[in-house]
Amino acid sequence: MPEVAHVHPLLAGVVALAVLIGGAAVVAVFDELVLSSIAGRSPSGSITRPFARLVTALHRRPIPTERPDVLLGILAPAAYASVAAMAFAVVPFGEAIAIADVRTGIVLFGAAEALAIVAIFLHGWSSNSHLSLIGAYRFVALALSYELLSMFVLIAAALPAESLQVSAIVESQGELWNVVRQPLGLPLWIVVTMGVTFRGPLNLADSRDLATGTSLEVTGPRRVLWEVARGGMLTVFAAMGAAMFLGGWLGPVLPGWAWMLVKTLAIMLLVIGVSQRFGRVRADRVVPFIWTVLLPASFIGLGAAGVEALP
Amino acid sequence: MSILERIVALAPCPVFVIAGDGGRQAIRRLFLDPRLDVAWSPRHASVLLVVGRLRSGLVEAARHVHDQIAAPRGTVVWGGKEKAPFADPVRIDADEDPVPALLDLHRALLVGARESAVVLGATDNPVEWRGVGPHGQGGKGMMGGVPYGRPMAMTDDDVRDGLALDALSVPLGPFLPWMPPGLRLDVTLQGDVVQDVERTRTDYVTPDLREVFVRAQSEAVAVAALELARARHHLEVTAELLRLHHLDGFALRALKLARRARPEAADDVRRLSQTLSRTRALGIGTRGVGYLDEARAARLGGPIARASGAAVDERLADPAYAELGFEPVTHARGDAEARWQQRLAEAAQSLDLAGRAGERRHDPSAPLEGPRGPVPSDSRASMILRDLGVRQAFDAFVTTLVSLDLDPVAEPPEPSEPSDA
Repeated sequence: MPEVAHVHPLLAGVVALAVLIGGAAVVAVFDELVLSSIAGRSPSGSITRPFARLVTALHRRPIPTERPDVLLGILAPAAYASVAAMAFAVVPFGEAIAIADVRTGIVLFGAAEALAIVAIFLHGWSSNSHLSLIGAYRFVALALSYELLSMFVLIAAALPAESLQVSAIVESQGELWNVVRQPLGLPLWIVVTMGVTFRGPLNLADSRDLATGTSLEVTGPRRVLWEVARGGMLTVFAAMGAAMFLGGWLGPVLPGWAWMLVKTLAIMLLVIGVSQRFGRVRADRVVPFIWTVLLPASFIGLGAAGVEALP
Repeated sequence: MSILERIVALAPCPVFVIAGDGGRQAIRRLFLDPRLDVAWSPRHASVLLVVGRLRSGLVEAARHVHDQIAAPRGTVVWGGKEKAPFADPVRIDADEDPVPALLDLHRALLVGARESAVVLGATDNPVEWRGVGPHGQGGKGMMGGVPYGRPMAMTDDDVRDGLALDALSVPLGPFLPWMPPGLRLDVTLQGDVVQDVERTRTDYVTPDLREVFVRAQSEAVAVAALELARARHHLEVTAELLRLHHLDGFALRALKLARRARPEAADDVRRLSQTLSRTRALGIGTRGVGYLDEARAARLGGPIARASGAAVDERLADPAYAELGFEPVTHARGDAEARWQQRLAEAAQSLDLAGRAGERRHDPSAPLEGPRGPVPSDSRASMILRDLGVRQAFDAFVTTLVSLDLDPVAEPPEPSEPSDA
């Protein structure tokens, strides 16, 4: 079992917050760059525009809806950010560099992922607005599907390591990364990541047919927090993807944390690229697709990983 | 210059746009400007841009939207001459570029150089919430329908699988970004499924027809000009569908092609169509949605008909087009995917025709095919919304509506339609 140094809780909180905010900033810049690339326009301003947009958004004053659930309205983005931080805690950013590399790492990660559903639903619920609520319900309809997918993908990745600890799963990829050993794993993880961060084809919660759904009535600092949490969640899932499928900190020449950073950024760029190249799918089509195609694919991946893990 | 001023100078202006007379085409061009963030909700904007003249039937709704703009807020009226129903708006002429005025107003609001516009009180509900529970739930008269103006769900028979769920009546329009300006719908939803669609009214705005097609009804107009305008229209409508499906990069490509519409760009339009078709980028949200068979589609005319396989086109009877060997492009599938593919194919064809048209002119006595079909229109395309919407998921209904490229204002009036214009 890998030895991991414990981190002071205060330092852990600061680190997690920094990663979420920094990750959200990178997501915003990548979004602009990918948009410019597809549109064939100059990328100038892709770095400054997102930050300026954020600062001006902070200046907008909230407008209450009629009979909102004020407490849950504030808690929802905070909870979404918190579960992202909780999930990040189990992801090692190098050999013996993690906030809480617990032995049940992927269980804790899965629990955080499940709690994100509650936060997103409450975000839509709290405004007391019909289109926001539809976005919330629509998301919950999707969430059960990708949650199951996530579970099977994570378990398959854990089988070769014979451990639920994320650092052990990274070390089990010393000879062969899981992206090669389990070729279905990373593509399915990309789907899960788009689901939990409701991006691109799986942006059913904040979709434009609902005039941005759960975010429709939200403005000012709450909206900024929501978008930062969403970017942070993408960062955490990209980091987990790097650890589970791309060998985490393993790699030549560069220090482990640098490899982890490069791999995380690569997955973030991949997710954003896919998100902007595929239009939003319909909830009543994507859910059957996940249940009838992607879930069986994940079973096959899990079965193959199990057979390989047999002594 | 303060730090805030420097930052604001770098920020795009978040603007919510509402269209009055002639405003719809102007709005489409705004999406291309990186200095603007065209918002999907007024609460995400700081500036309300009112394009064109607001007729009386739209004023109250426009004031509602105004009060939903997040403070500090301001209004820019672009092109309207009459007294605007807003507090201290910035006015610019129709032939001016609105972007500098929008950016200046946004900057002034944020640095405090200009006061935020006051709330007009339009969103204050005259009837208090009558729920009695600890979370405002329950209460006499607060269930089902739209009591006191508030949509409230109530259990009702389901139209799809018999599972009784809560039906929610949702009034939509007249300024929902993906709806034609002025159109109001009352949609009843059960969960995410459309149970009923009622077109409650259409507030008057000028028909959305490019100026060159208006002139072509009374004077000889260059075929090349007509075809370039048609290509622009089809590309802009496709961009709307792309934006709806979160494909902003491709939408910007379509809008750039629309802005630079010229015969040499025909291959670029075909490449865009091929990219979208090959990658299924838009197909995953549009295939099988809003199907119209050939007979029904033929009655609506234009690209809708041709996307269902009906080779109807007024240009076939126009001598100027006969000289060019014009043959209409058609698609067979008749769904929303076929309709955007049809429009892109027609845009490319129009650019080709414009390149070959030379000095040929359309004779005003000959039939005229506009971007939506015959001009003047005798189609009532918006009347099929109910047929196409019921039993569909809400997002499929929205995709259907956008793919039809409706202009309810140009349709012949129904006998029961209120004529408040």
